[in-house]
Amino acid sequence: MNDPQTLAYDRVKSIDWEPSYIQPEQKLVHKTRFHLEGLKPVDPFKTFVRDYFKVEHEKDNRHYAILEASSRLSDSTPDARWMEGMKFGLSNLPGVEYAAARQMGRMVRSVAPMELRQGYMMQGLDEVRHCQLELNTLRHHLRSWRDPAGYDVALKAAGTSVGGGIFRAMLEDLLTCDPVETSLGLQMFVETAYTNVFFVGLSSAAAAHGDKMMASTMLTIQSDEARHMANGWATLATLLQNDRNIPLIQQALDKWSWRTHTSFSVAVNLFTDYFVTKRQESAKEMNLRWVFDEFYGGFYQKLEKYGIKAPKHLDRMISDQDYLSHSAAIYLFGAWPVFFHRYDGMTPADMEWFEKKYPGWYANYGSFWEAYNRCTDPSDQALILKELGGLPNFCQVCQLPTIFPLPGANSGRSCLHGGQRFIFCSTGCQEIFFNEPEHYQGFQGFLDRYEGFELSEVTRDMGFVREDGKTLIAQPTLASQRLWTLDDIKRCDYVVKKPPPPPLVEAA
Amino acid sequence: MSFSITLAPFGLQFECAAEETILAAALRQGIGLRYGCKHGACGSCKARIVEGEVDLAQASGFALMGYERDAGLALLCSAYPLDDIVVQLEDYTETELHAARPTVARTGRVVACTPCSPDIWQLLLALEGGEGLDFDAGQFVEVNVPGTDEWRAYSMANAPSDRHLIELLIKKIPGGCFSGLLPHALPEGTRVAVRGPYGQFNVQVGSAPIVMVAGGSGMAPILSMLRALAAQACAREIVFYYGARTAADLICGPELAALAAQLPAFRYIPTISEPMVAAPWAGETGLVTAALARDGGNLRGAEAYLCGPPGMVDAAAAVLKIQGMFSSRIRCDKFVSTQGP
Repeated sequence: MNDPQTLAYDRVKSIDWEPSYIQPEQKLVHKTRFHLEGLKPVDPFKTFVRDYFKVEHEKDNRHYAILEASSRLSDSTPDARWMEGMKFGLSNLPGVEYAAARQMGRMVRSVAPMELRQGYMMQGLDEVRHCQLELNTLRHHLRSWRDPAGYDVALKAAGTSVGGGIFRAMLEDLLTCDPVETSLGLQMFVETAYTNVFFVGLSSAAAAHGDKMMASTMLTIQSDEARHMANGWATLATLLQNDRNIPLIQQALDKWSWRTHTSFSVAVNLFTDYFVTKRQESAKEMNLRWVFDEFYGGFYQKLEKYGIKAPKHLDRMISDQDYLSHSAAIYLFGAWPVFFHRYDGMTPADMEWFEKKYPGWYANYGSFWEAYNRCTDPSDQALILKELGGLPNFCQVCQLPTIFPLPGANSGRSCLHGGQRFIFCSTGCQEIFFNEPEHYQGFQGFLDRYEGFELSEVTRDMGFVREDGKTLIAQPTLASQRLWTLDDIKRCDYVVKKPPPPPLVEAA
Repeated sequence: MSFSITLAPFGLQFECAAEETILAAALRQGIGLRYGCKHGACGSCKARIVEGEVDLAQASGFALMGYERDAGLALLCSAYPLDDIVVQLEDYTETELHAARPTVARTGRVVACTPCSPDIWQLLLALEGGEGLDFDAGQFVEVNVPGTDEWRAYSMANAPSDRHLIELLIKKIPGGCFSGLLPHALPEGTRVAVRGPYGQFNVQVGSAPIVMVAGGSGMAPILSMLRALAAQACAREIVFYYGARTAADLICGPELAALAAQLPAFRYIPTISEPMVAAPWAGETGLVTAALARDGGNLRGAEAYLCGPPGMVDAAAAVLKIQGMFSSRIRCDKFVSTQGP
């Protein structure tokens, strides 16, 4: 094809140079174990930087016009369950985008072919834009939501909370693993497999709950995602040209399919099912359609001819859809005093919907919700966390509590490594650990930090306290009854304690 | 007179004569646009025209709603260019567009026309001119109804390696434009114009276990696939469910027995829906989809090839999904009537 656009683009790509004062490989900051030498990269798209900025500028203009109009008119009140949940939900996102921007910079400096570097560079710029959009959404909510407490500490909380730890562990893994593996993990799984449940599912939930800011933020971000998926495909298509890459690709896909399932996917499922009042499809329905049937079905079929097999734990990932959001909710609601938003317990109408969408739900989770709703008034001195028997163990790899698929029938286990006992939520995470123990063994979690603390001291230490210095930011209900204070928590007398470890299994 | 057609976002250009459809011109030049029925009834080739005008006279109002027309959508199989055209493709890859076999015109001579069952006939055409026809197992050709401008589509049952021969399995429909000619109006030696190959119903390269389901003359593309797989000494697990009304309607028995000897992991499960006392039958009975459901099992890693009437294909797809098969693994060739819905 000889169209002028292609010719010009090829000319731009040829502006690369051979270094004269360092060795060519010194241009690359991180070494990859994948074999990229001599491969003909697939060019993901032909975009000039000039055109890129023009398009992104226009997108920003449109979005910020909505922000402006929305703050002036404030024509409707968004839904409280959703807006409170967003304190926690949104807190995690700028960090994800910022980490993604850093990852793109690292990949540009670690992957030689120009065609791929060009795509990574534009994605890096996208991620900075997305981070700024989400920071602005936080700021907008802080200024406009009736109870701003929580939005003010959100960014710090992303770094300290036990919920944020799940995202942090995933991001740090993405930032420190092999740079080519980063592309497969981020671009193929987070940005391709889960793109619809996240952007389509959650942005329509945001719109339905009157959160126009979040809906618009997600839509303008989504308009860049096709580029990120194309980067992932281009990287993968390039790698597939060399047979020596096949076992490395298989290992990276196996790791990141499970890794995304136990992190990003848990969060998306939780928000889809437990932070909404205007209910549409369940998280399970959306996941089965978009993630499993559409993504997993098509993706692994395309790769079969290269000898790549579907992930070993695919059946478990699918059967987990019956439990993922519910078990996660027990944890998030059970540990409310160490979070930073107001909770809204499930009502009879919610429970009816759950039983319809997830037959058998009440038998597994109903008693928790009955107990939760009894533990909301501080004068009763009943703390749901204590009623549950305290905090569970956490997985050394993904930082999820070991309560999946069901708290009472979970796949948690411990293994010995170097004379030390490590705890995992599942076979999937255990395998990931033992492929690269040095990558995970140093991770310190919530229990390492706070064991022996009385619970109100934990909340104080995290800074999740309102301006009066004594009332908690988090509250177990939306109702304007008397709010829980640090003293109320103290009177319940719960001291953080490591639970007994799960059963020991063979490391291999 | 001809116009230039550009496929965005790839910038792929080709020429299209004023009297041919955009789809026909693309296929003639080996450009792999997606399609189904090829006569404006199914909507598989729907795409957006972003520049230029097309004439959409033949497109069915069901496959292309009025509001879709107003929004610039067109069925490429029924779109004649009136201008230079830019078509915006969604969800295509450049590789896929370059993967199609160009369609060609050939003449076939009737060598045999033999009954396989009370209503299915096997028509053998020898291709004249020595060029033969390259196709993939599962594809179909169109045959001209002698003396008219009418064309009818039938799948090849022979293996692609028999490139000078076309074997078709044709269900005789009383009054059918082409099938109605069988056998007497198509005596040995009759010359029939043939064009093709068409269709995107072909076996994916890979190692997944294969489930095949066919009814009636849907046997043809499946037989071609099995023959091609046997020629490759394919060791993949293959189960073929074939549905017929009575034992007399079970066709191609000897051919399938021969294939079973060549394919190490092949099982054939014929099913009849109307067993008769007069003809004892020890095999499966009931609908072919019921036999499929009875076998059960986890089909998550498997793939399926379905060919037959739309009702059977849809029912089989539903059963396969319940058994865990991913939608993208289910490929089908539905008979869409030339008469339209």
